[in-house]
Amino acid sequence: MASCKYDWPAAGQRDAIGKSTDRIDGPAKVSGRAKYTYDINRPGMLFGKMLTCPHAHAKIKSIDVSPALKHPGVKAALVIQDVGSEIQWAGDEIAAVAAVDEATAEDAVRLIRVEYDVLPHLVREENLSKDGDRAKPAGEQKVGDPDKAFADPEAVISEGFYGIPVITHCCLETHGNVVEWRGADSILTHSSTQNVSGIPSQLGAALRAKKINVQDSNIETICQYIGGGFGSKFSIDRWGVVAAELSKQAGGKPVKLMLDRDEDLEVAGARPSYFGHVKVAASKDGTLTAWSSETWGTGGPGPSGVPPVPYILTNIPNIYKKHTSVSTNIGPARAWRAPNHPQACLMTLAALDDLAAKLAMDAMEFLQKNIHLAPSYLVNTYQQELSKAAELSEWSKYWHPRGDKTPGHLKRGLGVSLHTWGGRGHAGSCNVIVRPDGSVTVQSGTQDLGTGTRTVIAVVAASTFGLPVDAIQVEIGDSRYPFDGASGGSTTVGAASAWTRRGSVDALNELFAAVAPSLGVQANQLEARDGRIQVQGNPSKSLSWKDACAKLGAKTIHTVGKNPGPCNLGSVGVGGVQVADVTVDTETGKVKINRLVAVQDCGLIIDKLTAESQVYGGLIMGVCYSLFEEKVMDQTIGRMLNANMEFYKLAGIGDIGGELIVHMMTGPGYDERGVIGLGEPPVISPGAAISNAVANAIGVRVSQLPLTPRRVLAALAKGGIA
Amino acid sequence: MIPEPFEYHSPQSLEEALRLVTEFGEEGKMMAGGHSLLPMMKLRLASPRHVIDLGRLSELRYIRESDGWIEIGALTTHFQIESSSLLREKCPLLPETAREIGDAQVRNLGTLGGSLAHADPAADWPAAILALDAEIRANSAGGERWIAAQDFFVGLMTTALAPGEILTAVRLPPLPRRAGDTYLKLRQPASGFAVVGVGVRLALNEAAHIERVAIGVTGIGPKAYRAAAVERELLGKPPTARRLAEAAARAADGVQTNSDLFASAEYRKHLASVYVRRALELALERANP
Ligand SMILES: Cc1cc2nc3c(=O)[nH]c(=O)nc-3n(C[C@H](O)[C@H](O)[C@H](O)COP(=O)(O)OP(=O)(O)OC[C@H]3O[C@@H](n4cnc5c(N)ncnc54)[C@H](O)[C@@H]3O)c2cc1C
Repeated sequence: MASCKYDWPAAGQRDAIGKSTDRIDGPAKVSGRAKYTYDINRPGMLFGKMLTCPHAHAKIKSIDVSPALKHPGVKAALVIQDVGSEIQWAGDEIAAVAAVDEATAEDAVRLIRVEYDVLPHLVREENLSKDGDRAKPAGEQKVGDPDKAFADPEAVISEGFYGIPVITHCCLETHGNVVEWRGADSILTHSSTQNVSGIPSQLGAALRAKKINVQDSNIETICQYIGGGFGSKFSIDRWGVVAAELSKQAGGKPVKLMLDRDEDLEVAGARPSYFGHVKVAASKDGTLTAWSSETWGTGGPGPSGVPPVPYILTNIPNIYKKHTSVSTNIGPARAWRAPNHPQACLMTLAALDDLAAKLAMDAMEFLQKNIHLAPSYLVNTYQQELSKAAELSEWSKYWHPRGDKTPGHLKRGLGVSLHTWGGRGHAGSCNVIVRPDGSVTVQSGTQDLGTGTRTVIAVVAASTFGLPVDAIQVEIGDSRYPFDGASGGSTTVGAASAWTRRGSVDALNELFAAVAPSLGVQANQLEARDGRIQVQGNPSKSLSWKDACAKLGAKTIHTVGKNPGPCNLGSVGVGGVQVADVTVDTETGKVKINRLVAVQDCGLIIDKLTAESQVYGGLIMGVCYSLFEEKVMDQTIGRMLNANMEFYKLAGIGDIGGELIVHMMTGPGYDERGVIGLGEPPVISPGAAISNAVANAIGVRVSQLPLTPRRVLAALAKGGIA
Repeated sequence: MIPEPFEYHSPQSLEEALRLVTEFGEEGKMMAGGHSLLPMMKLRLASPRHVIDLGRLSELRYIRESDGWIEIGALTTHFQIESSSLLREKCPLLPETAREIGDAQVRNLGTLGGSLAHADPAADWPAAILALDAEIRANSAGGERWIAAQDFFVGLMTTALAPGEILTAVRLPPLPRRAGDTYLKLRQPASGFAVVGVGVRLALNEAAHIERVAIGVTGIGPKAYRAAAVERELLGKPPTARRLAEAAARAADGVQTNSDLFASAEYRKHLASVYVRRALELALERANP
């Protein structure tokens, strides 16, 4: 018997939990029935467009929107940033209009007149010595005696420069909302958001600050389906507030204001860059002794974030590190899937890989040897995962010392990396409703980012009630339902599984109480299995689910499930290991992925299929930023040069090139930790693993991501096997 | 993303099409597969008042052989070329080129004639047609004429077609004995167009020296071209690996080279040499069964 009443069932009694369940919203998505914010069209809807600043840094001297307002078809126009405002990045919003159609709105925006005082800008930060007073110290730390450790004549030292540029989120659905007033004091928003429950209070506060009176409780936000967020869609954003203001000006008519692709790439998402010189030392037997890094990066005008280096192997005895944050005139940083981790991972695991090469050690052995320097609760996991990854990648067959010596222009190499993430469930809640007709509904103001939230809720409720997954109706994506936290930082599955479980167990107990008299036993002697309510261990004394619910008479069971709450249903802290197997064409500089192996733990898995999908998605996104993605800024004009999808390339499935092999660590040692989030972890390692594999193939480090042909050929020209 | 308004015409015969083309002159645009024209119209890079859809002219959709020559109608789609068993046997370069174009949707609608008439500097067909010494037929109200591939591509998106002329067919001379051909391409990762594309047809004489060689290159400069400097280095010579490599180094000699964020001019020149060498090696292998 479970020791705490909400505990997850023991292995063997988990029903659908841990098995592979197809997404319950799959058919709606593939058939086009699923409506994304971009698809929302409301009666009488107007189209919003914004005038954005063409300069990277400027002050507004004058602005006049009246010509736009006079344009036929225009129903509202407003100034977003007024005279005197200092603009910090190109593409920042200055004024907006709403008109009867998109073309009219575009034409009207062009009529707005703005004069700027153009100010000096900085949009490229990779050369720290040129960053001047834009570079601000952001922390320095010393552990042990690094100077002494590096001075040790026995020490083997490797030094290198590594870098990862700013990339953008490039959500396939751009940011935006459709906002309308329902009467004078109530608002409905359809928002492309990761934060359904949080949007009303953000919008309410922003409007009240502009003297537009509306209660948070009178704002409803709906987001049934979202085309990607990755950490960039937590906020109503200025354009959401603007849409509400335009709608008000236009008598409450719905205003659709979605960013264009170029706007989205330029302003609506940036992952901070990270560059640095790293020095690492080990004794001759390969034991790590010291780390030293001087790093810098930009997150736009604000601070850059400080990636946690040395990553994973935090217990290296001697550490020196210094970070500098460079303020630049680019669209501000937003959380990008596993904030700071991919950067820290590349910086650390690439430096360690170079050190292993210098020691003439197998990179996998080197990590095994030093894994005791990881946080103790992860050491065991990593040891098992490294072995598993070695096995799945056929490491001992394909790994070779640096530089593939096979003749010809195709060189093959293997690289390994590891990562960690928290992933504890956030605070949130749901309603669980069991009706006398046997129908079951779970409602929550949570959202499904495509990660499978709906399916997870259905699997947990179904498994608790002993019902098939399709017997559960899941209603989410509306802020009128019980509050749930934003989906960020891998916190949703931990929360949704726990509040569904708690609410469902409570509901089931109420049902047991209603049914017990007719089965002639106490409520605590009942169990729910195979679509029946039965006396424990005695299926002959039972009622079908439907008949059992009929005993409720006129009463509907309505419980509220919460997280956090009693019993430990989740935990925090996962480990993962990835291996990349690549072939590099040394004549064209093209990197081809042969295989990516991902070995991942995430505690107790609710739906194996969506869990694996998270890892596949992480690998694919990892290939994107390892091989293709870079926000290319031009210092002369201060603008992004590739704000389109021809030159801001994302990997299509054909660009992955090879096989993706996913292995989830489950069973004893993993399951009993309960549910831990998985959104972030698998996207952290690909950069380091692929970079290390390329170095293994061609015998020289390509110091910066993405590993474009130009960079690969430049690295080869400096050295390497070719 | 919305084109300017236009009038749509759908002639049922070549004769009618020619009449409309003459009538509308500058204000009209022919449409074959629409896969270059429509994107241009949506971006408002082209705003014809009249669109003359050639799609109904099934008389221009064929692949046939006579007297050893192969003739392909202008409206033949990329896919029809890709899947033609006649071409696979007699001229593998063409199906190989077709296979490299865009994606399945593009290949199902885009046409050989449309691509040649459009003369995009990164399109694949121009390089293939140059390597095959093809001839291109142009029809006008006044009759028809044949234009050699070498004379067809005049400049950036400019061809030898005169106003009022419709490209109706392409014909290819027979493959010589002991000959091999191929088409190799490096795709722009997002668009799929050629960063560099190289078509080669090469024939050996009795002594196994290079008797004929034609190299078409696309993606490098403002228009597709014959790599004449490379061809000169090879003609009459024994095709040693070293000679092929040395000659290929001249693949972009004298060409004003394109440059963009994905591939700088320098990188494109380098790629031209690499791909010309690789294509020569493969064609040679096929000529030496
Ligand atoms: C997503 C995408 C990817 C693509 N990738 C590639 C690629 O990798 N490689 C490649 O080579 N191409 C590529 N293309 C272009 C494609 O091959 C086009 O089909 C081709 O370039 C034009 O052929 P069309 O029949 O569609 O011509 P249309 O678009 O109909 O016409 C193009 C031009 O030619 C003129 N024209 C058409 N037919 C005739 C004729 N018979 N006589 C005189 N003028 C005529 C038209 O007036 C127009 O100016 C791609 C296109 C798309 C949309």
